[in-house]
Parts: sequence; C-alpha cells; structure tokens
Amino acid sequence: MSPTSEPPRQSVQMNPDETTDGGSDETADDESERRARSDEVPLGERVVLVADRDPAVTDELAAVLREQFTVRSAYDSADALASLDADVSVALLDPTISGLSARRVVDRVRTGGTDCQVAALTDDPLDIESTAFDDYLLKPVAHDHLTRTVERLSRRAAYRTTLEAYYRVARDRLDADPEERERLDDRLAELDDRLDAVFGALDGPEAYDAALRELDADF
Amino acid sequence: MNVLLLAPSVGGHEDDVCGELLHGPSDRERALLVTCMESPAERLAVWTDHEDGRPEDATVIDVEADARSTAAAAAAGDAPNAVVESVGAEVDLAGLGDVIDRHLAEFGADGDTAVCVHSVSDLLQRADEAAVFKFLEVLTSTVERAGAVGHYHLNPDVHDPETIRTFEVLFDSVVDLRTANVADE
Repeated sequence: MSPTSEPPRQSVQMNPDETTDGGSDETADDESERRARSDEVPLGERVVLVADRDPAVTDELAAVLREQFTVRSAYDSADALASLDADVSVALLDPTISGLSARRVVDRVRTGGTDCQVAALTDDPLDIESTAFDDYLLKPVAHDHLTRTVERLSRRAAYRTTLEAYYRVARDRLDADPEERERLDDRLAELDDRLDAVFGALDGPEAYDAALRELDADF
Repeated sequence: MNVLLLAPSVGGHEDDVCGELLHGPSDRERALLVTCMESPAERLAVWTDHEDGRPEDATVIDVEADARSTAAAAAAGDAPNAVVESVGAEVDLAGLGDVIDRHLAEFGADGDTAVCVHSVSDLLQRADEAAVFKFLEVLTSTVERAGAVGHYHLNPDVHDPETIRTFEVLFDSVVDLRTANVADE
C-alpha cells in the first residue's frame, strides 16, 4: 500500500525537486537554497505524518489534523519510513509497529535530509529525555490536545529548520561575490525576521531544545 | 541589546571595557555572569574594580570548573554577595541555556540586567561552530526579550576570521578591541 496524502499533495507538487531520491548531485548552495525555500511553506502546508498500529486510530487522528494541516497516513513501517521525507515537519509514530523502532525512525530522519519533530503514539507515559522522541501522545488522544501538540511541534520544527538555514546563509555569504552577497544579506534578514516571529511563541527552554537537540540513536 | 566583544589575548583593556558594558550609563543593579576558564571571583573582580562598584544582585554561572587551573580554583572561595551556580562539564549547551534562562527570568524583565558571557571562545572548545552559533541565537533572543544588555567575549586570535564574521550577524554591534573601533552592524 502506498502512503495516502490528503488534501492533494500540494507541498510535493510545489517543490518537485525536494524528493530525497533526486537530490544526490545537489551542490551545497542548492542544498541551502532548498532548505531555505522549505522554511517559507505556511503552517497549513507543512506535512504531518500519522502512523498508528491500529488503522482506525490512524484515520481518526488524521481526520482531526486535516482541519489544519496537510496529513499523510501510513499503515505499516514501510509506508511510514517512505513517507518521512523533507516535506514532513511533524511525525506521530507508534513505535510498537513492527519495524518502526526509534532507531529505524532516527536513521531515516538522519539520512532523508528531513529534520522533523517526532512524537511517539503510546499506551504508557514515556520519560522523553531518555528516548529519541521529541514528545509523546498518550492514547486515547483528546482532539484538542492532539492539535495543540502538533501546533507546538510544528513551531519547533520551523524554528529548528529556519535556524539551520540562518547559519548556512551566514556562512555562505562570506565567500559570495558582491552581487550574490547582497542577495544573501537580504535572505539573512528575512530569516532573522522569521526566527524572531517563531521565537515569540516559544519559551526559552523550548527554543534551546528545538535549536540544539540531537536525535539520540542509542535508544 | 547584544554586543560582541572581540578581545585579543594581549592588551586591549578587556576588563575595563567589560566593566563599562556591565555597568552601562544607568549603573545597572543586576548582573548575570557566565564564566568558563576564570573563577567566579575573578569575573566578579572585573566590576568590583570599576569605579561604580558592584551591582546589588550578582549571579555567576560557573561552567567547566573542573578544567580550571589550581590557582584559579584557589581564588574561587572569594565571591561574597553573589549567587554562584556551578554547571558540570557533562551539561550540554541546551542545558546551560536552560540555567541561564532560569536566572534571567528570576531577575525579571524590567530591562535593568547586564549579562556577560566569558567566553564564546571557551564555548567553542566544548561544541562545534554550528551548535555554538545556534546556542547564541537563542541566548541573544532571550536577552533581548528580557530587555537586558548582554555582551559576549571572543578572542579573535584563536579563531578563523570566517568564524568571527559568521558570528557577527548574531549581534547588534561589534566592539573590536584590536582597533578600538566600534562598528554598528
């Protein structure tokens, strides 16, 4: 079964060059540009991936989230891992799905050029500091809690990717010729404004965590 | 407001300028000092020696105390009227940020707090350039939000010029003690 994506996969069509398969010969500049462009995708067009071991739960959560986000549903580990590309900003995954361990997810997130926030769908509370996950949702998930959590993770994802782009542009502009440099300076100012806007919705510890947290594959 | 202070290894009146930045024109009453290689007492002395004396509330966040020389450690007991919180070497930059954030919040947001980070060069010994850059973006944003004034020491003698120019974008202004020129970014 291939992953479903509703409404129509606008974010994929918008940036056809952003699939992880086609980008192997990108230069460093293309790479930073690609990341920079993906920061401009409005909140509603950022993709949320949902995969629970119970297809009915997957469908229920996906239906709630579709009111605000572009959602992909996946029903097994192959679907879920294949769907974890650079368009995904938040993934809600059930680690009890066979083949969807935290390690597999982290490996996929690392190699796929994506830098999304990952929350576990669980039956028991998790000590999040000791896992590779950014957050967890205890089932059954109340709809308003689901929406709030995805909104928060989406802001964290936006802060993290924007900050990464900001660093890259700050670096790239050093070697740029004058014309290119002017363009990168404008870009830097735009990213700075966007960082300030997202930072306003985060408290200090959230911002540090979103900016610096390394996915830990030792789990 | 956030100022990058480029202070070379020798000369440049680093301590004098640090004291000026801490006290400011309005003689601020609260200060938050982050120190890595120097002891809390040594950092506190920088503004005790300043003509306006020491602010009423001083907090020193003491990073990496284990790596310090025994001479500096011997002076560490002498930090009167200051809260000293030690942060172990195992704490990462995000953990350090949380500690700074907590003390900044305790000081309140009425714009009368000075922050001194000594130093960015030492932080670059602990983590790579990208991580320190991101840490400083968050820190300068929290300082701005608290209405505080922060300055950040960096020794230009021990880093690539590219590193310094990359970091400059994070700050409202750069004070370069190699030339004693003040350049607005």
